[in-house]
Amino acid sequence: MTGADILFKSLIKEKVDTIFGYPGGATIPLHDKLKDYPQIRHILPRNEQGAAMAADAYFRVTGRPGVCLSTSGPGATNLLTGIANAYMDSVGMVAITCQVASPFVGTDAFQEVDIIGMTQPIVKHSYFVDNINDLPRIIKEAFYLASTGRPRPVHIDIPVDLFKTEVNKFNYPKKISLSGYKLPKKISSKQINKACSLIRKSARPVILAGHGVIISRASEELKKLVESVQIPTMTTLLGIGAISEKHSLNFGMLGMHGMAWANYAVHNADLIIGIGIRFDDRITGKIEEFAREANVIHIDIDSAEIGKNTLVDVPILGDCKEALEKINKKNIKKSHKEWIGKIRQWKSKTDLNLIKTEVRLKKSKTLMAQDIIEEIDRQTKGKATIVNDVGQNQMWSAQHFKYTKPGQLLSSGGLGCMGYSLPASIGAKFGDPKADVWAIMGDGGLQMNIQELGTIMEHKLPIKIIVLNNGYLGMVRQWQELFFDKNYATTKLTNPKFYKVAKAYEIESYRIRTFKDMKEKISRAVKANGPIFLEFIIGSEDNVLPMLPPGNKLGDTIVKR
Amino acid sequence: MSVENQQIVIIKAENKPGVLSKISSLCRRRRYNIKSLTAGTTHIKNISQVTLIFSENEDRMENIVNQIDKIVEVVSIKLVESKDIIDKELVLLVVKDDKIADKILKNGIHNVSARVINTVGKCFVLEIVGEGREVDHILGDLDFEKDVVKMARSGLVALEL
Repeated sequence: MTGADILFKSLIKEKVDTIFGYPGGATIPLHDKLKDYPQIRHILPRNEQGAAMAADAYFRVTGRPGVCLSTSGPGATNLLTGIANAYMDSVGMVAITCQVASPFVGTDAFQEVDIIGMTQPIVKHSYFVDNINDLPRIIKEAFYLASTGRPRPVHIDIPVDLFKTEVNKFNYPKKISLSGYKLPKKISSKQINKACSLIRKSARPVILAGHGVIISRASEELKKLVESVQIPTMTTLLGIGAISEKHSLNFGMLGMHGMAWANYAVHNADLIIGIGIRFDDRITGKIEEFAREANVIHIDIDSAEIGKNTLVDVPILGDCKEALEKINKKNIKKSHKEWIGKIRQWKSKTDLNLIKTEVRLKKSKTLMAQDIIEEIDRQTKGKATIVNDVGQNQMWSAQHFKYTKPGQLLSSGGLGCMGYSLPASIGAKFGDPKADVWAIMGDGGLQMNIQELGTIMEHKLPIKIIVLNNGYLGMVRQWQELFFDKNYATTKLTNPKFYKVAKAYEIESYRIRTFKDMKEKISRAVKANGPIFLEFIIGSEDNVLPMLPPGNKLGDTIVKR
Repeated sequence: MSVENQQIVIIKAENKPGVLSKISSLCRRRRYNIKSLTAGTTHIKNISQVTLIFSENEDRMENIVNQIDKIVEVVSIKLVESKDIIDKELVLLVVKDDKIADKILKNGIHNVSARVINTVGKCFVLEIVGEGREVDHILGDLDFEKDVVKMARSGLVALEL
């Protein structure tokens, strides 16, 4: 038995069934043993970044840490963007990099980089393995750290010679001893009482639900609270699905491209209950004006998030689900008819259907992304799993699909990482083969990881690839239009015919320009058993609205071009 | 640097490679100014203490304390007040002549212990030990351009009482 066996045996102990990995000089002895472990499926992306992003999505659909693996040097640095993405979005991941052989570490050997130093600010913890006998303990700790508390990536760097080291026996530890790792203790009932008294007193409360609600699987408890206290609820981008968007008290996404009425409501609220969110700048708007008239209750598992961006009146440190259960036990019954009526009134004036034509230039007759997303919603009966990219496509697909379940939207929120959708859709499909995965991206994001079409081709993954092609890096163009006097510096793309690229990968593909064709091809995609690639030519200068211009308060959200 | 916005943090951490680098790079990344950082062993096996002095206002401290606390090797962290600790700092100082050395050795105001540990030609090598604040005062009385040849400070080490 060698060190390579120790790694695979340890991973199996952690119930790992899938590794997204890429070989290289420093992984050969490891990959050499792969054939002995049929329990582990090894998926080869076409760039290590794809491995990290697929592992990220694997966590988001299964709740279990995704595993990615790379060789030393460039293989490891290619993982970085995906690891940073997971870190920002509280995604559990175990990233394994192989390193040059121990005697060469620190000598600037071929394909050596200080990857531990590079991942340090974007991981929860990292390990450099000196001795193969430490590896089982390290793997156990890594999975524990990645999946408990606030999930985040953990990095393990292993010199290649360790894989060849002969080992007599494999002992997997039962216990974990991490004296410095602090998980939140039981939630303080004093804080719960304080929160409940604010809830009882408030006339205009709102709940802001974030990714934490989904991670802690607290949707049921959230719904219970929302209904019994009749609190209007908004979600962050990553909180979408925490409560069904068909629920009458869910007023949709808030923030920079959130619903105008949601932003107005938060601006006018007298109580903001943030649950599993981090009051990021994209949802608070101008921070000095945020929650000016409101008390703030903040429930989060990470003490460093509480009070980081906004003043908090009642901090509740702990798991969202546990906190919500405790609040629900207090059995508060209220109604806020007037307040909810007010928000509905704002909604009736700024509904997405009303402002739909505002987003496009008057003379434009091209397909609209909004219609495409709504058509996907209709034809999949709202059951699709959407994996979007970053930019306009991300906001349109967040706004125009009615999400009803946690984990139904996978999105690169905190890092805003173009190129996410294609590799993440692969990770989502492997993690949850039954999910109907639709990857939605722009022409920019497609090209950031277009090579993953190869992975989709290899495994004949029935992923629906939707490209919203406007020939621009659309979100940046939108900012240039609005704030830089239409100086479209470097944002116009010279593109190939993408559907032909997809054809070269033996993926059924179409380029679509008309409304009728759009409906037909989406219907084709719904029925497709293999991958399908739909390239929609949309208005080159369509915008995303509503929009909160940067530096403004939530109340200043605009709905006109 | 006024003493008012000097914040003292005492960290107990597992004695493992990379912990200091994690603490210091976290402070850099979140833009906290470190005035002094010292580290050494404690009476507990495998536990080291880091004494960290920030030049920051108190209202910024809660977040960095919480952030550092999340480092897995950090067992405990505490923002302390000067009244709850004893602190000491060591200064090695080379001054130009006996007159300057005398001024330091015979000062009656600041409570430090100072002694001559060597001479190099006409220069005197002094060892000064005292509370951080007292050491600051005694160094504050010197004219670094005229009086001092070399100086090195150990940084503050603090012990919570």
